[in-house]
Amino acid sequence: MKPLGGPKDSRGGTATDGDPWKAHVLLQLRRRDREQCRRFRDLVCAYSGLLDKSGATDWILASGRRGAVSPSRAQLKKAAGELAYQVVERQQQMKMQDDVLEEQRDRLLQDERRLAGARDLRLQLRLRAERLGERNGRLKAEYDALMERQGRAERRLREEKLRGSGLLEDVMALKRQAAARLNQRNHRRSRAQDVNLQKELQTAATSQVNVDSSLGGARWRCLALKKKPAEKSPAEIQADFLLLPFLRSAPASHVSPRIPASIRDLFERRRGRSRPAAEEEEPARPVRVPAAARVPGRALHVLEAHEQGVNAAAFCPSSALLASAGTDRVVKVWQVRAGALRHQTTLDGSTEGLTCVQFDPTGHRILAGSYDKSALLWCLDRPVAKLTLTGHGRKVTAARFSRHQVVTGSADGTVRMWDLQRAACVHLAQASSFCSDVVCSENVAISGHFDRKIRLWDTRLSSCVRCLSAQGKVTSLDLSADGRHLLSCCRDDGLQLLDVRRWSHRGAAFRAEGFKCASDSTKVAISPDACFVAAGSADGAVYVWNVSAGNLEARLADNHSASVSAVCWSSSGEYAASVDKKGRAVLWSDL
Amino acid sequence: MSACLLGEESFRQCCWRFLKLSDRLRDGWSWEPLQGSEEGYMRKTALRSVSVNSGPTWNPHGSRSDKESPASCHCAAATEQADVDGTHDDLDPGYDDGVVSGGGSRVLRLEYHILYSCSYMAPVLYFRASTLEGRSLSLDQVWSCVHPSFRSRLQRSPLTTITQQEHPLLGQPFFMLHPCKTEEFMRPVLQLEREQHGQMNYILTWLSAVGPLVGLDVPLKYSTLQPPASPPEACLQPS
Amino acid sequence: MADDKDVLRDVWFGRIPACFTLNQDEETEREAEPYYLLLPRVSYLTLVTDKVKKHFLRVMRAEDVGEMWFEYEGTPLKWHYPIGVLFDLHASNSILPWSITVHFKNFPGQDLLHCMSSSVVEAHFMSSIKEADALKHKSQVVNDMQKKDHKQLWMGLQNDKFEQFWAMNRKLMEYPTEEAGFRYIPFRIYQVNGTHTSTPLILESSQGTEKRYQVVIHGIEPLMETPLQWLSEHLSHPDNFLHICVVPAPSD
Repeated sequence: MKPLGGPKDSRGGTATDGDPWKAHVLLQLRRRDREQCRRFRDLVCAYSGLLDKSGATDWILASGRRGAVSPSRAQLKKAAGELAYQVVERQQQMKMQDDVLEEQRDRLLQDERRLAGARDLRLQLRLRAERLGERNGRLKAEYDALMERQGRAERRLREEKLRGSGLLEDVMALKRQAAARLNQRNHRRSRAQDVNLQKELQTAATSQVNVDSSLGGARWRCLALKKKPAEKSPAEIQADFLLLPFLRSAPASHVSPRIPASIRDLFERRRGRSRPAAEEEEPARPVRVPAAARVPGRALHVLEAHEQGVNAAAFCPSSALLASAGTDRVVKVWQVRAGALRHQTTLDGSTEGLTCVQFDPTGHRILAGSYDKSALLWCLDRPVAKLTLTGHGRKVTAARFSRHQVVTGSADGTVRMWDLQRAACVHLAQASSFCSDVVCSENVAISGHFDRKIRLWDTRLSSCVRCLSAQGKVTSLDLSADGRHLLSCCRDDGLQLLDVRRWSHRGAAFRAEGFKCASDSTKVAISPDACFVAAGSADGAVYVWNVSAGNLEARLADNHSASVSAVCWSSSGEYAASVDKKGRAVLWSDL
Repeated sequence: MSACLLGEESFRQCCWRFLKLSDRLRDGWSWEPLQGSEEGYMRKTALRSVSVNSGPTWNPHGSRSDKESPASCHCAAATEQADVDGTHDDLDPGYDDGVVSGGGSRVLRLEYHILYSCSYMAPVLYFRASTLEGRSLSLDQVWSCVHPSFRSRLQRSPLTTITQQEHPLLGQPFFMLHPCKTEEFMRPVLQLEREQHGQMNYILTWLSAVGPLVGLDVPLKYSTLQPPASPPEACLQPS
Repeated sequence: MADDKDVLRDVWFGRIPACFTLNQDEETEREAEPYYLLLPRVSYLTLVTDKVKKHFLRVMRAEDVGEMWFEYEGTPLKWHYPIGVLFDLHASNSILPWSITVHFKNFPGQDLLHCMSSSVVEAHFMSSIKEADALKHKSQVVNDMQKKDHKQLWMGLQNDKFEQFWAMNRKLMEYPTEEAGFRYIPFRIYQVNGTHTSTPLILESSQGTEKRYQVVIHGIEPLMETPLQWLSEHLSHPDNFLHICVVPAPSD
């Protein structure tokens, strides 16, 4: 059984929530009570009260009639007075009630007025809403039209773009054709030149001249480099001449290491002719670099140069400076003085570790390649990079000065030539194999690759002139001071010497028991006089071979505790330096 | 539905058969249809002489012996007369008046109505009594007409017996024998009937039980006459 | 539900303002003042007019006093109808307060039931409740009640005690959960010209034509879609019947 007042009606009726009929019943009941009951309640009560009172008077009257007449008169008067008073009172009450009624009527009137005002307002608002709706409609139409126009404009834009790209392609194709024609012409010309040269050489070779052969070579080289000497002022040349003998200890000068020794010889010879007094210092000897390299035998200075591994080191060709570049992203420049290395400056700016380092011939600028796919150029007097050459797709493994240009090789398999004035890439060669090192000669660039190839490029890098196989992945290259000998190091733990002119291997590889090429970027060095070659091994020893004898000259162990990553030789041949993967650098000499 | 209750249609049929018997016995029952509807009721008027206690309250023990004999006398006379001269009841009053008034008692004009109560699904006996001058009797006066042997028992629960009520069809005040116990006392009778497979008339059985309470006697002839009359009507009676 | 309780309260506490005046034919010692009273709709005239009687008896000689009865515009008022029904049926469109004439002689025995004491009202009231329960629950609930429960219903009505009455009456308004409502809905329909009847009356639909009749319960017109079960539970009179008056619609 369900309790009363529960939701029974939900079963009896159709509607459970809302129940309009229920609300209706309640409303009607309330209205009924208002109309029938409440209005009369006070009236009935008041009437009953009055009736009781009048009943009392009746009783008084009756008792008065029954009893003595005289005393009742006073009572009657009193009662009449009371009644009169009551009448007055009632009248006052009535008046008050009337006032209240009036007030309520006023209020009703006000309410009605307010209602009328509200109705007007509603009407106005509705009108406004309609107007707004119309305006909205108009705006919408305009908006739609604009949208359509925009769509049309966009379509047209797309078409125009398409047409523009087509035009651009046409232009590019035309340009390419023009470039190809130009290249062909250049190629033809250079071939003709080569043929001429060849002929000249042949005639020169066949003619029995007593003059020693280096002179002819020098002349040839003079022809090839005719621009450079011409550029140099006589004063500079003179300075070169004066300072050359003091190279070992002289302050920074402007001697270019790019001028091969033979040319220097030539100059010396001329100078010697014009100024014989100078011959006391350095007697003119054919094809000999005055500073004969010494076999390093003793560690002059061992120091922890970098916080992390050192990847490369290079001596300044014109002053006693050593630069080392490491994984710790900086290049440190050391003064070599009295058989010791003294820190001079630190160059930073790379966002990744550095792979290689080189001084320019003047010794003023330093070039380094970086893992951050760029090559950086510093001036020695400023620790902040002057130029950043970006464009390679992977790390830059090699960066070399080549006259007023820079050649870089990268892991992305390309070799690029940069114009330093514009800091822009001017030539690009695709080798399609990891390029591990690049060296530059007068008008050629030579690159070593992981596909066991050593490639020779002309200076514009427009074509691969020669290609030679190596025994393994080439890790580094080094060129002798005269530019004739190229030393290469391969992962098969052997070093090999190459005659650049003949473009052939000169004899067997330099190997030694215990020598092991430590990494893909192990850098080896050839002495400036091309008499010795040096390489660092995975066991931390530096091996030095005699070139002419082909045997191991020295094994310098115990100073490195990690694999040696690079060896370099000073241009005077007096010092050699080696750096290892733990950040240590060792300065060697023969003493 | 219990077989002890009476449907409206069965009520009609029972009335119909009862009326046929009444016609044959000239008992004075008639069917009064209500104007403008299908409803109606059975009606009978009778005269009866009783000694009237005119006091406002009635003393159940005071006048028991006085009323017993006249009431029974009259009824016997009325039926006898109807049998003999074949005249209708309505013609009787003058005669009755003359006979009975001399005995120190009054003649009452009694009007009995048998109606159907759909609330209780049972027949209800309504009646009113008036003097020949047309003055209605009060409830107390009516009580005084009830046979003393019933009176004390009935009066113990006044709510369930005789009360004054409005006649549902006429809207006039009538006395009524309350039907709320009807089913209770009819049930054993009906069950007995059914066991014996007798052809009985609910109205007849019921009326013979309640009629005597208010001076309405049902002659035995109704039952004795029934066998020859019943066969053709047996099929009409629903179970 | 609060709404339902409110409905019950409003139904119970419905009042009609009435002005009782003595019939001019009555012989009085002096002029009788009219008597005003708020009549409870759900009660019976003879149950709430003790004060009226007392009021008028003051001006009457005891020997002239017969059974008191009431009349409105020539119609004797049947006390055994609830007051609200009488008002809705005869005077719903008249001006308030309801003007009732009081008589002390010439009791219309042909029209009115006698009512000598409140016990007669009680008998009538209880009889109605029983009949209603016979319809609703085959008399099971009312028969299960004890004598004192019956008394509580009656006393609740007599003393106008809403809570007391409903504490008991709620039992009469319950029905088995498995059923949708009462067996039958007890109701009476009243028309001015005729009598009350328990048979259904088909109201002609007022669509299109002018509304000729009002269906009034407790002085209001519920919507026609109101569920009958709910009506029976909430708008029934204390006698458990739904008293429905069909009266002519006001001509204005």
